[in-house]
Amino acid sequence: MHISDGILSTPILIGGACVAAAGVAQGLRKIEDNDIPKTALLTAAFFVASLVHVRIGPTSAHLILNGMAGILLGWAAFPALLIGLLFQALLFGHGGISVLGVNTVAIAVPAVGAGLMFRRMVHRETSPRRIALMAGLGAGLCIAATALFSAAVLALSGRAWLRTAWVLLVAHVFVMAGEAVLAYFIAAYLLRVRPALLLGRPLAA
Amino acid sequence: METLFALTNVDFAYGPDRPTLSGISMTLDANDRVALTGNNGSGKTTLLHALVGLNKPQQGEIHAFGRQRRTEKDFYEVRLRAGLLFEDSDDQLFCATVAEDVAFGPFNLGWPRERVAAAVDSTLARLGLSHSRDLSAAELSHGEKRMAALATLLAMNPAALLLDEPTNGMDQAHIDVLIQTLQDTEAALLIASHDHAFLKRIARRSLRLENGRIAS
Amino acid sequence: MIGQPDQTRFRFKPDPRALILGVGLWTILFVLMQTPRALALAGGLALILAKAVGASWRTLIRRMAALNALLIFLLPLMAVESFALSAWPWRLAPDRLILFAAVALRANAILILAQGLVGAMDMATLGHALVHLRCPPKLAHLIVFSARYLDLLRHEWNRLYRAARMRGFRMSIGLRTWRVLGALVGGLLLRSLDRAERVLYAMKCRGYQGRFFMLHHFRYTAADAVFVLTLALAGGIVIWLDRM
Repeated sequence: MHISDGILSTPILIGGACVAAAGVAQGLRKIEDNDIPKTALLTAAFFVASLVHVRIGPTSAHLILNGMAGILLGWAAFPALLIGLLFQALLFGHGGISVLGVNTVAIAVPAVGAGLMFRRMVHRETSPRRIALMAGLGAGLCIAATALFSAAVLALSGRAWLRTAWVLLVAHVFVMAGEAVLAYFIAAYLLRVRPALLLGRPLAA
Repeated sequence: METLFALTNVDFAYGPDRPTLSGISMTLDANDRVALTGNNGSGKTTLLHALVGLNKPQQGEIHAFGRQRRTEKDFYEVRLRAGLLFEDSDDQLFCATVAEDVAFGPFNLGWPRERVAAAVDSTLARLGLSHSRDLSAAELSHGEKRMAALATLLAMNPAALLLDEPTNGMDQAHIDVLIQTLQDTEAALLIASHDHAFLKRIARRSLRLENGRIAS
Repeated sequence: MIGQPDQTRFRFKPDPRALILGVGLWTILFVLMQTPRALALAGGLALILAKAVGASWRTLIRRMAALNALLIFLLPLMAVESFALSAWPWRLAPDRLILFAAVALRANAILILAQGLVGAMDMATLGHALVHLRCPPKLAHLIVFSARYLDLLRHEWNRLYRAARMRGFRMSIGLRTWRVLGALVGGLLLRSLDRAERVLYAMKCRGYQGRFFMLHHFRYTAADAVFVLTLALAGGIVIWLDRM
């Protein structure tokens, strides 16, 4: 999910860049020295996963996984997703440099929100099924928020983009479903092999 | 002779039901050249990691460089004086270029920039890696990666080298350079390996691990 | 491998910092321009710059093809006056068409600029240059660090995916696909976290205390100053053309 260069109006680009800068700064503050390799490797892993194309409903889409990034990285998801988008823009020409700020806000704010929500909800939860469901729910909501935000900035950039904004919203209903199901299975897998990664603690007390 | 490492009755387990090292007692002296052999899973890597404090034993004592070492802080100094070659070189070459990887340790030793640069140049030249100075580790062959990882350790002038399967994936030309380098070095050597021909040319004595215990 | 600069024979090599500054400046200018004629000129200039510093035609054309396919999909969505049945045959609104032309030209121009940037330097150089440009060092080092492990993790992914395919896995739309995909992505995350732990060990073994160092220092020459000034001047002229 990225909006291309050239579409959004200047005030929106500037606003997006400012919010993204603040979020990235906060994310960097939260990364301890010993977390740098972990953050970097997960950044790379999420980028590699975002190159995977899947069939969702009638079309094919690439994975976003911002909900999962938020769950595993917390605030550090902000810089991680920014770097992912930077790589996408530079190495594959997806998205763009001028929209880096807006796109980062679109995927990282919901990601951090999903991460914080997930941490609060699974506190003391011991049923793997329920934890995985919460991860799925978080990831789904995350995509919904991303799509709503992207559609909103499109619509705010001019009446001409109103229809495009609607199409984007409808298309993301499928993406949302796919990402929610995928996050459920990723969480279920991690809970089976290494629950501490997801929860920061063993599964059973 | 000065004793660099002395372990007494060290026990270590990754989990409650997975004992990996039990009752390990051993020493490594300056100028010692020890082969560490044993099957996969016998605890060789775990032992090497314990020597530099990457695993903290549940039982027993580790003396290194004249002091007992227990906490992360204790081991900081040990790590600057004993270089551990990891099994997977990609874990060890995390910088953008080979030269920066080699410089990382010396910079952390607090050396001034000129001394670091000189150490990088001479170490790379010694290992025949000068041509790959500004390459990313991703562009090196397997053998070159192994040598580059060794260079990151040698640049710090370690008193001891702990090598985990150094010849893995190396071709003969690189093995020859490696043997020459190890014969020339004054550092004490503890080498975990399955490569008996290689060990024979370097080691003066050997330790064998079986199921986490020293067998000979 | 991903992120290696294109190899071309004749290229002008500006200081990476100068190039980043120049590309950043032009990106901002392109965003501000509104008229298609100024943007077309800007696109031409961007192309000259990108070719001069080392972008290859092949990647440029491939990236632009993908972008323009998307734009063609957007054209009717934004420019058709009304999709009502009574309005058949559907017509493009002239003012929307001009707006669309500006958007398409701007998108292409900025894409070309970005390709020029990566044509000239790899991600590690980019990260280093960013440190020198006062970007927060932690962010710059994260860029260098994750770029270093991109290929490795891509190979890990390919191995995982191939192993699944060998056992008969195929992408489809069923729930089973998602279950397998979940395990594959989970496996990738697990491997990257394991590697991160070992890398941290290796860093600690060489005395890591939260600091990174740079051996390379860029040299800023008079030619680089001329380069940035030229870009600024050219940008100014195009903006003037835009406002006329």
